[in-house]
Amino acid sequence: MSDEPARDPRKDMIDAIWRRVDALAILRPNFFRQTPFRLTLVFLCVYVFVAALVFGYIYLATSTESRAWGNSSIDARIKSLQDLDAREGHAAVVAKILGDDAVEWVFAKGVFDGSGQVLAQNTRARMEGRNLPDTVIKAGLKEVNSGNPITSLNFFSPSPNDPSGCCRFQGRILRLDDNFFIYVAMDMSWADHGFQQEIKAVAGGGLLVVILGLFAGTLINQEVTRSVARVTSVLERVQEGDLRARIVVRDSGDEFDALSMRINQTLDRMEKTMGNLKYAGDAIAHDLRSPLSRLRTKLEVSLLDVDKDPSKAHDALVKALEETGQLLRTFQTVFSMSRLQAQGQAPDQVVFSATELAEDMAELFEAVASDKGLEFDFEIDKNIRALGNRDFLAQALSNLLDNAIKYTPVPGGVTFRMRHTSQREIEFSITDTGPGVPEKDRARISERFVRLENSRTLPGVGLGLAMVEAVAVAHKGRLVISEGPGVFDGQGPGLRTALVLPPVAG
Amino acid sequence: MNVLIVEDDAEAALNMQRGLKDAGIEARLAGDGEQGLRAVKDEMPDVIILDRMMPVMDGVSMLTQLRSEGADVPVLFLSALGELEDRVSGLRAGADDYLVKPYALSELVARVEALSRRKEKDQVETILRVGDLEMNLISRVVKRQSKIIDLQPREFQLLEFLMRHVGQSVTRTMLLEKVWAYHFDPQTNVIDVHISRLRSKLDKDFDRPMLHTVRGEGYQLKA
Repeated sequence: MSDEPARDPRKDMIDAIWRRVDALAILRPNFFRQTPFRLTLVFLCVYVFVAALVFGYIYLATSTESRAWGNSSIDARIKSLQDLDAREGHAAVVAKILGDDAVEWVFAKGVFDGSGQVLAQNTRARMEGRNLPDTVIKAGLKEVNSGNPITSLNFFSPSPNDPSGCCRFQGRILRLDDNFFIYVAMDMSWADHGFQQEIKAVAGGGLLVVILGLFAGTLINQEVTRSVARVTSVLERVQEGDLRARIVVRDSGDEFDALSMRINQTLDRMEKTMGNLKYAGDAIAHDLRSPLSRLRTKLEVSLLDVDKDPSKAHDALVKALEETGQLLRTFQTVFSMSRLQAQGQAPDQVVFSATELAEDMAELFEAVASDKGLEFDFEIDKNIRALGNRDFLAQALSNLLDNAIKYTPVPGGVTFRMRHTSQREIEFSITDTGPGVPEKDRARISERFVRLENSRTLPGVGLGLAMVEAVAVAHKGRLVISEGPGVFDGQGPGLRTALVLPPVAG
Repeated sequence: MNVLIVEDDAEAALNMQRGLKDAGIEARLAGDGEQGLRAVKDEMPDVIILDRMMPVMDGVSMLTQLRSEGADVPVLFLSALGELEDRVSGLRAGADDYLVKPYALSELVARVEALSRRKEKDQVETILRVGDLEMNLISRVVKRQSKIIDLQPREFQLLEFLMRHVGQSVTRTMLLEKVWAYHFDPQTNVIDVHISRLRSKLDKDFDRPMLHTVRGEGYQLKA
């Protein structure tokens, strides 16, 4: 037993969570730099800018209007006082100002002499009077005396209701004679107040939009981040070598699902290719190990033999060469298969005469079959064309024919056919009267290096059908293994192998 | 015969040289394409063995330049296992034959001999003669000691090839490639069977056999 202390599973879990958090931290080096959030910020900035523009326009429009309205109201009162003065004299003006009623509450009115001394004020002016500073009156007087019969008068005063607030008065001074001046000022707070209300409304609404916008932005951000994190975490796992990692697709049909499905498909393909490559690499390493070590042992034994009897040296070397040749052939076959599988399709495919290929193969192998004492028949349809790599297909057919001849005992026969199927596929089939292959074994005999028990006495390494399969797949075709003609006269049931290629377009 | 080996792997080159020497063929060595072109200028070889992958100037470039300068010297192109594209590009650049590494030394020698012979026999012939064997390429009649030998079309082609390469070893792969025009590994004795058929027709009724098996290499037709 090892001395290592047992690991705390909770610690493992926490570690795992931390790793996950770390992974997310990599994703968000800075919250404010994430795309959805940045988009939200941009949106909000644009919103604030537009709101400010609209607000500014409203301000300009309302303030101009209220000022104009105020001025006309003031002017009307100035005019009426001026008329009264002309008709009835100064005393009537003073009486009129002192008699102001509540209707005139928004107006501050007063009379002062040439020294700035206030002679009379209406009620509002009296209340605000302390806030009508001498300096304002002096400045007004100076201006009026310098030639302007009427001058403006603006001042601020704490509101009677709200001493801390301020009322803005807008008004005019009129010179009636050297020692008699009247002023009328209007409390503009109502306009200011309305405007303040507008500011409050717009600012409040704007703030709400900004807050809601930030909130929504954060939510969207989280959602997008989560979607991206699902993708990224899978890609990280792939990067770490876990090719089986897949993104969970939520069936929402959005672009993240589309992206996820695309990535998953790519990963499927990658996994398959990598699997094939790994498998090919493993297969090469595994399958060359035993023949290589056999060769080594053989050479060592030969060396011992040669030490005792030097005349055996030549034979030993010839044997070693043969063995090496066989090894290289095995290697080349495995290599070709791996390349076919990795490339997914056979290289240099052209349209060629399948009839000619079949006739050549029949001619080549008829000799081999009859040399062994087997009957060999062939039926080859004329004018059939196929798309493919002729040499690879020849290799595949050669393997099938070689197998059939090798495993069929004498007396027996091999039949080779080539025809169009009803689907216009091109079918090369080889039927023999040998012992066949039990159905349970048929699926695995096209695997690499699989040799059934009763075939072990015959030469071969078990790559023939695997190569046929690889060639078939590389041509988008298939290898079909089925029962032969059946048991007859002590022969059979036989085996039928068929290499089927897709129809040639056009 | 004078062969030029253009190969950057010195050990491989020396082994080739050794193997060729054993067959009575002298070979010079060049380490890359540029050296190869210089060696060709020094003395035109009968056959060039050209490796695909080399530093400075690779096989395809050298071959392209050689052909553009009008040199029609036969070239045997060597390409690494599985690099089918190399093979195709080599043939396209003007190679006369190719061999995929790893190859058997005997295969290399046989192909070099075949290439050198091919050049000699380029002129049009109507009758091939080897010893008492005669092949009329027009009437397609084969006679040995005036006795007609009845051959199937493919057997005729096979014999023609052997006669054109009389005295040379030809390998099984060469026969499959040159007579049947297929390039694959039959993993079986296909060629042997066809040779033995031909042999039975050619040598059966005669005291002296012409078609010999060269152990570990292939076959040879001798006068």
